[in-house]
Amino acid sequence: MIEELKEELHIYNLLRQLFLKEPSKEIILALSEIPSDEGGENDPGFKLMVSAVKKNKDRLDAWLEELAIEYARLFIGPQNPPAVPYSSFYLSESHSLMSDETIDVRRRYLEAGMAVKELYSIPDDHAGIEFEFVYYLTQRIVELFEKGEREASTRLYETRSDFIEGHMSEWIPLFTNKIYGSTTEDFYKGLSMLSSSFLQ
Amino acid sequence: MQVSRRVFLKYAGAVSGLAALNKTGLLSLEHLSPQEAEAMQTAMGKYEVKYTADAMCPAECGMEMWIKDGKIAKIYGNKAVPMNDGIACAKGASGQQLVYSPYRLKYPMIRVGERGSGKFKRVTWSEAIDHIGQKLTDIKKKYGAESVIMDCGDVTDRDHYYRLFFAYGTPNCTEHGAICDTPRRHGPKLMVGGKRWEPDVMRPQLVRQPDGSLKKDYTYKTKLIVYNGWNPFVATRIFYENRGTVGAMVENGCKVVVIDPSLSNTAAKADMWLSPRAGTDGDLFGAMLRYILENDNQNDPDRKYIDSSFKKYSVGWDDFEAAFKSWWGKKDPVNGLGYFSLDWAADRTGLSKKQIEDLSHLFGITKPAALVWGMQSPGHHYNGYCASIIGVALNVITGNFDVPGGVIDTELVKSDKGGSATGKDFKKKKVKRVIDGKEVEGEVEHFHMDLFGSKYPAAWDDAVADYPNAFKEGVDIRYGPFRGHHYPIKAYILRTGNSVLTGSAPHKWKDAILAKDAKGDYKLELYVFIDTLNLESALYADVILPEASYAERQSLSDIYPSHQVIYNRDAVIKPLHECKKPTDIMNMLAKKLNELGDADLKGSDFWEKYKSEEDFVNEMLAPAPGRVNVGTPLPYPQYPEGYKLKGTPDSLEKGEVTIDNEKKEVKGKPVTVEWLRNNNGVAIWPMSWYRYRKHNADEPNKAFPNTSTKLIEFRFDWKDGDKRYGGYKSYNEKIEKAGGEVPKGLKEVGFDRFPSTFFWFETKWNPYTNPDYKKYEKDFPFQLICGRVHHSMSGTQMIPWLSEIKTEGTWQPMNKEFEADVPEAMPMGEEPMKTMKMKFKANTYSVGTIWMNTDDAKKAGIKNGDLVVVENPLGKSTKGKVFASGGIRPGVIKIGFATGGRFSEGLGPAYKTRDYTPSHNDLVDPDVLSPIMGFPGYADMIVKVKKA
Repeated sequence: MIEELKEELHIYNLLRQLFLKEPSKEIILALSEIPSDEGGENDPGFKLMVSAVKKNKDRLDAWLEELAIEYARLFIGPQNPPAVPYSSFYLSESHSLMSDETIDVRRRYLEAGMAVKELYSIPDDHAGIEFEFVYYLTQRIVELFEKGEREASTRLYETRSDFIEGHMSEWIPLFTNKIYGSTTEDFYKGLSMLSSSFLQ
Repeated sequence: MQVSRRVFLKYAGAVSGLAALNKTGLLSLEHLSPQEAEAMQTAMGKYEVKYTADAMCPAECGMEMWIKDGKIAKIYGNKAVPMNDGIACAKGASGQQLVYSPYRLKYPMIRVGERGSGKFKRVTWSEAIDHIGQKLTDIKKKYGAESVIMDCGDVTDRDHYYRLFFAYGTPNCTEHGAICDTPRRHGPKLMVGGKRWEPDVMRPQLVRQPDGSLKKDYTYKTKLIVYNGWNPFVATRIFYENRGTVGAMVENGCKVVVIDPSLSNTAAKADMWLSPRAGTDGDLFGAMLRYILENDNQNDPDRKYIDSSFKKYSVGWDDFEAAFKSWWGKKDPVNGLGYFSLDWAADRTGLSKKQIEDLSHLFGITKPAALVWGMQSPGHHYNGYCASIIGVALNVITGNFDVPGGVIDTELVKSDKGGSATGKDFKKKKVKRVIDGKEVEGEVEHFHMDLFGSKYPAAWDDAVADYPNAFKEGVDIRYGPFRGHHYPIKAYILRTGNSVLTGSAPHKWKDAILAKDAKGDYKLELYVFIDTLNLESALYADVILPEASYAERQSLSDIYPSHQVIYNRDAVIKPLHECKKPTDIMNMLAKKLNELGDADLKGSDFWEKYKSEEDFVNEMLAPAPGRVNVGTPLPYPQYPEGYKLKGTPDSLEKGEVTIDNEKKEVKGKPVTVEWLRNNNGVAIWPMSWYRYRKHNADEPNKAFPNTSTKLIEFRFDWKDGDKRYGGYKSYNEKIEKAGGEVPKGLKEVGFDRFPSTFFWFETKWNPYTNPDYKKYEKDFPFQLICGRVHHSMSGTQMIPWLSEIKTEGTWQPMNKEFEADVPEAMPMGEEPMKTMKMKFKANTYSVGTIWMNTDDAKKAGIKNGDLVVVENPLGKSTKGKVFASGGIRPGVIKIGFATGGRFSEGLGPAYKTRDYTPSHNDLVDPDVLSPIMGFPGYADMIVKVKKA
């Protein structure tokens, strides 16, 4: 199981970065190095992302600009963003930000000794931050396990499972459906498929 | 784990490891120390009460917000603030829906498509500031700093931006007042140096008692209020007026008369509703004045209208009266009758002679009384100046100005908060320009596009509605030292305003912002939009900067009380997302300009001086209250009468002061943010009345009001020996120095200088009072007026809660079916409100409508709810649903201000209804700008209506 977690670290690392900001050139270049001839074995979302990168590799700079604009359109605005990246938008009855659901996420972070750097400015339940939280927990679980602190490691694993199953899986599919339904950019269609499949 | 994941994971490691990580590898989370975690754990779930003001609304009532876990959990009115005395209206209580709206602006953005296409990308603050800084630096070098306009839209917190741009070198800084109601304020400004006349109904008032103590007084004294085109029950900037009006009616038997073509909520509760034709306010006021002058009899207690003691406190009445009377013998070309007679006024206003006579008598005989005119009457008509000047005269000669229960000029008595933070001293900086080959020196302020421009040199509140012309044609300076200087407008910085939608006609604004030069570049080289909200004007911007919402930034209340009251609008939570406070935006931009070589922006004036917004606010507070010790009862009998008061109420009370006899100033301990926070957020100094006369003698105190003679002035420009006086003096001097060159506005009404006393001219687009428009009467049988729906103004229509309340005929449940989240009050349990998803059936959710009279609708075959097109003689039209009722004068159509056709998605539900809600602004004639101050004739239009 620990080996699986070590591998999953990478995917959470990728997801947090792609939700917190528009993709960097480094990430896109690395994706372009991945062979596309992996048959039907790979995650379909990931395959779509890779093929989008390959399709645009001759016009990378222009495409990066387009991705940045698409990122802004999908998640920021200024027009109503079609995919609001905060859990409270999906989980609160009022569809507003900084609701009780946000505070619940803050409590979960705090229980693991963590807090958002820009506390009270960035709502705690941004998709990118939540993926980062899972990324962090996974890292700690592995560390503790390898240091032989099995009990602490197991406790943290439970925290992680609670967070994914009791919170993220409640809203990430709704969020990724919104992305899928409102973008024509294969890269983001792929990202939406990848993120929801990964939580299942 | 699925096989496919495994295959993927072998690559994912390579990909994800590349991103630059900080030491801990975390981008947005951090590890807390055990102590930090414990402190946060303890704090979570506890309430902290903070005092602030509701600046999502122009009333800016005092609020207390209860903060839990860094978020606004509860909102109440602040009981210590007399403006609202603890009350929060629906709008005040719905603040969370604005602050936590998912649709607000969150990050700096730069446009990537054509202007208006709505395509933006997210950038960092430093990229955005760098972009703006570079552009402003280029523009200043190429065209001069005066080519930049800073439009602060909302009045609140404009000072940071004014300071920045005054220092940069442009005097062209403006705010919402320019498109609010300047003709309405004109009479008070000209005749007493003030602005807003309101009835004396703010309660409680802090009043000095005969035994020297101070008491909160709740008694009402007013016996009559006449509201002309003013609707305090719905659209109020002066929140105490709604409860004060009811209080005076119930507790003091006060009568209320409402003059309005539509049955406003205030009219519905009034003792008398008069429904004249639109745009005839001045006609009615003129007839009232003539009636009072003709029928006053000092020996008959039933005809003793005039209180002649006003003559001691004023100057120039005889000239004013003579000029007014000179019109009585002239024949009006519209009806052949002598001006201001009852017959004349009846013909023009459509009221009966008896109604006008009764009103004139009632106002003349009832004391104390207050005649008040609103923004939606004189404020929005081309000739509103005449009405507001006559309005001042009516209140003054009947003895109602600044008496207990009478009418108060709230501008003259509010606390001063204009410390040097506002940066007005920068406007005095000497600058040079080459004009016609000659080097000329002047001051920054002499570049002002209106005050020294060719059109409206008396536009002391600026002429924002004329900006589209300036964007396209530039500015001609015709007065002052830079006479002959022409400059283009190259940058427009718009902050918390929505001029594209409401700054006169939207098509004119769009056209000017999109205009290109021969090379295909935008003529307006830079357009920056700064706001919390995503309004229509954002769609046209090059750069968007997200500003902290009203609850996330600090400043002072902008209010109109009947005596000096000031309160801290505290930042109650941290700015959400990447929004920044005005102080920070000011400092960042100043620093960037400095780095780019602009020596006019210095650290000592900005980022080194104001380390926090509190520093800035403390400097604004330095002169408070800044008013003179005058009136009866004297606010501070222990200090000399007429001396200026500075300092906290408690230090003045306790005598902890220094008295400067040379400067005539009493100075206590300075009012500071800290002092306010320790005193429920608010400072209150004592009320007094008769502030124009000595407290112990029947003679002027020469310290109040704020005119050239410190008397009420019925003359506007005159000489006495070598000295020249009057409110129009300086403007006429400009004209004289420019060889008699007449500004465009005055030319339009046939004047060659600003008048020296009473004047009169007709409004535009009114076939009933201006013969030029008689020809349109048949084809365009309706007068179009507009009115504010208090809770659904331009910037608050994204709040669903506020559409659950209908208002008069302009905001009615006439929606198409949709789903929405609806908060319900929860009397039990921890949360006071709970939101539920509800399906709104058709006609259950309020939207902007077209309000017309039932008989008019019937005649045209129009039923309630029919979709109609409203068209003006200029070929412009708008579409909406009809709300037909008896509560509006036949021949008049009313549309709410900015209540329809909202084309920014940031407006949420309002955006969804845009196809069947009308935009009044689409029908405004952009070329009707009133002659003295360039104000748009929002309510001067005629239309026809047909089924869509």
